[in-house]
Amino acid sequence: MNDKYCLWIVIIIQLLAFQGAFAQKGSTITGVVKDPAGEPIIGASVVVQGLSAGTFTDLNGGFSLNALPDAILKITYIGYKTETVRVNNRSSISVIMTEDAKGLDEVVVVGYGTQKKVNLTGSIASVSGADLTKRPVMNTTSALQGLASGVTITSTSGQPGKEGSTIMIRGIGTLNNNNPLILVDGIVGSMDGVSPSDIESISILKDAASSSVYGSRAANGVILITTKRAGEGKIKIGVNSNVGFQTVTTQPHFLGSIDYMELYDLANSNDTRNVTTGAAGGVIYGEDYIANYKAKMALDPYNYPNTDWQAITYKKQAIQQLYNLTFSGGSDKMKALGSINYTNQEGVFPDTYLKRYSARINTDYKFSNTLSAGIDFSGRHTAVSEPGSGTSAAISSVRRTASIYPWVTPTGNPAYVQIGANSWALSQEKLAGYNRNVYDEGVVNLKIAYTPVKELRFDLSYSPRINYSNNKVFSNIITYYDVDDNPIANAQTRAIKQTYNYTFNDDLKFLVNFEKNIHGHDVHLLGGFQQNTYYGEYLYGRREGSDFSYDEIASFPVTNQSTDGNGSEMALQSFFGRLNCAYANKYLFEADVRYDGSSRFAEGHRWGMFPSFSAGWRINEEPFLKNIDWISNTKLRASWGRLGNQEVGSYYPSSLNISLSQPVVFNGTVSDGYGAVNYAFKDISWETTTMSNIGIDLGFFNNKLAVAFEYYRRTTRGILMNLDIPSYMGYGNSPLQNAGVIQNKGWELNVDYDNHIGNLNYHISANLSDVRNKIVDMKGITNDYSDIYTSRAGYSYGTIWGLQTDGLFPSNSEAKAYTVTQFGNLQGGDIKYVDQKTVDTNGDGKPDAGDGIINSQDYVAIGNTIPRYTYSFNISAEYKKFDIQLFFQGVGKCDGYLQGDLAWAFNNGANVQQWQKDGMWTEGQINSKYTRMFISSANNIKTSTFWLQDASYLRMKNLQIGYTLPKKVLNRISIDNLRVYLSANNLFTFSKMIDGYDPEQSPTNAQTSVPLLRTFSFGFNLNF
Amino acid sequence: MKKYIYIILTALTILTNSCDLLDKNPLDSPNQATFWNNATEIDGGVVACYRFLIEYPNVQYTFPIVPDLMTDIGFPRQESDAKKIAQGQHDSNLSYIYQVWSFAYQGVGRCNLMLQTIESKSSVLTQDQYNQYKGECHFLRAFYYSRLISYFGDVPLVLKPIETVGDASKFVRESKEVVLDTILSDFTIAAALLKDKYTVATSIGRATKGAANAYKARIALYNEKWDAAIEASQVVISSGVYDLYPQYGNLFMASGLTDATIKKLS
Repeated sequence: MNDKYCLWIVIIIQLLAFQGAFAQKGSTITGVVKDPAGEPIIGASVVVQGLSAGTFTDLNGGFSLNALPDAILKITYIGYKTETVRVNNRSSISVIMTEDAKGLDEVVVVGYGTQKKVNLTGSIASVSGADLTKRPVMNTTSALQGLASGVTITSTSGQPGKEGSTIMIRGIGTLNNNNPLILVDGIVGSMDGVSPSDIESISILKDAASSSVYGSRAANGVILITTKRAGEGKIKIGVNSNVGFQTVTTQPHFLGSIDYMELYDLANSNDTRNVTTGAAGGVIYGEDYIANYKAKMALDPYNYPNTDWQAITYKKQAIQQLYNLTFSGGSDKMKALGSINYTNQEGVFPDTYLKRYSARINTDYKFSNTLSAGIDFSGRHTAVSEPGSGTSAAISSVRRTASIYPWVTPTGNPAYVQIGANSWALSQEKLAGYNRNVYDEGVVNLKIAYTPVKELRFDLSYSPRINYSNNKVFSNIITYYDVDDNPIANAQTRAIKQTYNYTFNDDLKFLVNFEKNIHGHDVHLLGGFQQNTYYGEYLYGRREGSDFSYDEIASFPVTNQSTDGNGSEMALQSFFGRLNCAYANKYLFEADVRYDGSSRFAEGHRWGMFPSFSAGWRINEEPFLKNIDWISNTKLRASWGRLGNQEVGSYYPSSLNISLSQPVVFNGTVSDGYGAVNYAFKDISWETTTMSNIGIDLGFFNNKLAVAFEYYRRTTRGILMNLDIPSYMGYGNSPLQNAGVIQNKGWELNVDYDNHIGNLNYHISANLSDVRNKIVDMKGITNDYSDIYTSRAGYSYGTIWGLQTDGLFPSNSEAKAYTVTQFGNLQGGDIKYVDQKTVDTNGDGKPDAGDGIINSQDYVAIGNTIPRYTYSFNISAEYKKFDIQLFFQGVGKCDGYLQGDLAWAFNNGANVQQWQKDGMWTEGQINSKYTRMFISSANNIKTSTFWLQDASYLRMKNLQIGYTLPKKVLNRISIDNLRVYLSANNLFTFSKMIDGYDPEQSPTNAQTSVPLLRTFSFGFNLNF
Repeated sequence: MKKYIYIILTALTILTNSCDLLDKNPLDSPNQATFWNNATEIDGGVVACYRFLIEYPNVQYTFPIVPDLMTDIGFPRQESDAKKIAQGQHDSNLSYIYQVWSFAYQGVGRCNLMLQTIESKSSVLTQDQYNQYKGECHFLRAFYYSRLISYFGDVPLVLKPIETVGDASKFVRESKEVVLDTILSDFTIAAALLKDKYTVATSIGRATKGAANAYKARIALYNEKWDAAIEASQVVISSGVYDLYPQYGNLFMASGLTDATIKKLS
């Protein structure tokens, strides 16, 4: 925001130079312009209405100019409402300007252009760069979380550079790629490829009307990122810095050795219970052993370990640093903005980190009044590292290995672990080796704009983008030792593996814009052509078995080496056009069309037409609403359109490839044979999404309160699925066919409220959205339930299928008496399942009785892990020089499913957790949180509602307190603006999950991923 | 106005230059559209048609041994789908039945595709090559259909590549009689085109005139087409290429295993 102030001051000073001398009769009027907080506004323009004469306020907000006693002064300043003041014979005037948070002239970035927000007919969520940088985060994706309704952002891990973030706009639309199209200044890019401090604005195109201009790539929504550009005037310098530390939000509470052994004995005696008598079976450790262990544990931790694997493996905290330096400025002929960013984020998991260096130069050149150009460059180097062959093995060991195993020998060697693995050793780069990824990106954007006449504009741009990545995995032999330091086992082989990846993307674009008012109709026509090409290749090499630790391929023996490599190409060509028409500022109409061709599909099936239409009615411009003061905005919007999706995994889905390895032996000699093995249909084409959207925008009390509501329906047809074909076609595979249908219905509500109480300005914004997903057609494919998340027609994508639980058996006798066959011998504390009605006994065609056996027929849809009722609210307030922001984000309905080592004590040799001990079944109970203790039980580990978790949550995503130093003080040391702040991310969470589990991270990921992070940081924004 | 025209012309030039930009084929392997350009490639395509002589992937027994295992003639010690059939335990999910069906049709499919390719690319082939490849494909197609009707009776009769699911859905089971007629005529065509024997060492073992007639005789025999069986057998007998092995008993001895005459005849 303050950047803009400075920018305008400079522009205005420039303009002043052109003002020349003005001669006017009148008296000198002096005045002062202040903001509501009483701070002087520097550089506000003060103009006498009707004349070109004017001046600007000085450092104290003061001005002085010549004006007639009856003149009207017009005071303007960006970000504030324009004030008009009658002089009324006064010689001194004091003006207080009020902030204009929602200017009617607010412009929103749309596909291939910009549009006034009031004239929008589609559904676009817009986020300003200022909002993004308010919350210091390491990457742009997480900065966007909760800021826009209908946009669901989830991440699976707290590991730097491997957060596993996904962005989902308005639900899941296909069984294939659901990622939205991300364009950075019009060029395909990635969310995290842009530093948050380089971003001017982000537009999220949600409905078909706003995104159909991107046709075949827009089915999952479009995110337009616009980077900052320089303004005219003196060179400005911006410095942003943020330093903080991260800790885990929460993690499971594992029990120590004594609890482990006692409960293990209990579990074993349960498992070996005599079926007929019900008498408990034997124990493994026994009371004496445990008592002895307990006595010696403190004195001899090497022979009687009590290892807290989490405490030993994870770091207590990890440092993060974020720096940005921006220079910008220029003349009316040439402007330039250069920025450098440096991010360094250490992980709470040892030897994990992300380091990113990025630079951007955006330049604008004006050759004449009709011809201008721009050259932008952005480059990035990112290094992401983790120990060993990846963190997941080490983390699953943290979550599994029992505390009775030691982590280190008395001399400091890694200790041998019998069941599980020594996660400490696996997490140390010096022991386990490393897995390092380097990503480099370079993008150039060349643009030429030609405006022969005011109404007409031609744009031509060419943007090549090069990406290069290198993955190097060096794994080392880890030798484990017993307590006497004898090496007893080796893990891993010493090997090196490197993968080089190179991609080249080319983007060529030509646009024609025509804008004119014809008989009261504001007409805007856009026509364009775009062409994208892609080339990618990789090369892979691996060697193993070196006796030394040099981590280069050349230092390894050539035996046991392997290589691989491949390349691929893709091209897209598109023609598109748009017509915007506004009549009397009341009736708005927009039509878009895109004609797209993709090299992925065969000739005759590769071109697709994607049209859309939308209309808006600004009712408040009608006479009958115009006079109602408290309603300041009413707009109805409706849209319909069709979009495509060509992201189907393969670059050549319709190519019938010939295998060159189909040899046959004749006369004892191999003859080469060539033949197609897998069929591919030539006639496959785009997945098409049809989307309808209706919306209403309301503004009350001079837009202090703004409400927007939308409802949409989104149906994707022709989803490419691998379907069986008749064998007599001559192929044994299941080629891709356009077949599936998925429907999403949803709504979004946004409420904004702006007001002030005296010097306290506050802003409250809230959004709530929901989307219901349903797979309408999967062409009869019914997956079995081997996977917990199973997609079936008639149900939501990724529905959890399992057995319905009817509590636990309260006693052994009741378990034995139960007539329905479950799994194995049952005893008290085992899960009782509902025998669903699958048998029709009275012949009315409706099943009315169970079949007496629990099997796959009793599986029902029990939950879903796609978040529903996602909401957020943001409260920000400013009091004099202080500002505070509270940002909450939550999910109203979501299921999590616990399984494996995290759900079941002793599973696969796993550890035992506090909640399992506390919630353990005891005689007579039917509703305990955990079953009876067991080491293995076929009955209790079936997918069922018993292990289902309520993963809804409300989380304080960010709390920030800032202080802006007074301008008067700063100006003396030539600083325009300085704000210091303290910030906390993920401060606290309300959730019904089991203690130790983060509802935002699905339990499936919790097993093998770094927990999500809580961050405390300090930073400043400084502008010269 | 001139300027606009230049700009539009530039744009059009860019467009027209890149019309074939969207024709992309895999870089790592040929496909149906880019392959079959010379005799070597077509030869390899015909070779690959032989890959389904075994009935079922990764099994040690082939036709006609496998059918014996489904009866009381043979008994495999290990568990197998054939044994399940012998014991009457098979159901519609038995993978063996599907695999035999699918494998035979994969062979038929390749033959159909190569027959089409040989016709369309005949210009790159010599007359000898053309005759041999076409003969081999007809022979193999008849061979695969012989297996199909022996196992399944009435089967869909596919004689050209099927390209879409819509086309595929039009097929129904054709009566065994009709399929048999096609088999006999395929063998007849093959016999007319194929050589008596191959001279190039690496080709020995590929289908010959004698093989076509012999297999024709066999499928005719199985289906009580006595006249056709006699006629085809007579051609083989009178060709002068083949003899009966003089000491039948030796066939089951170690000496028979290494006898040069058997190798020569095979």
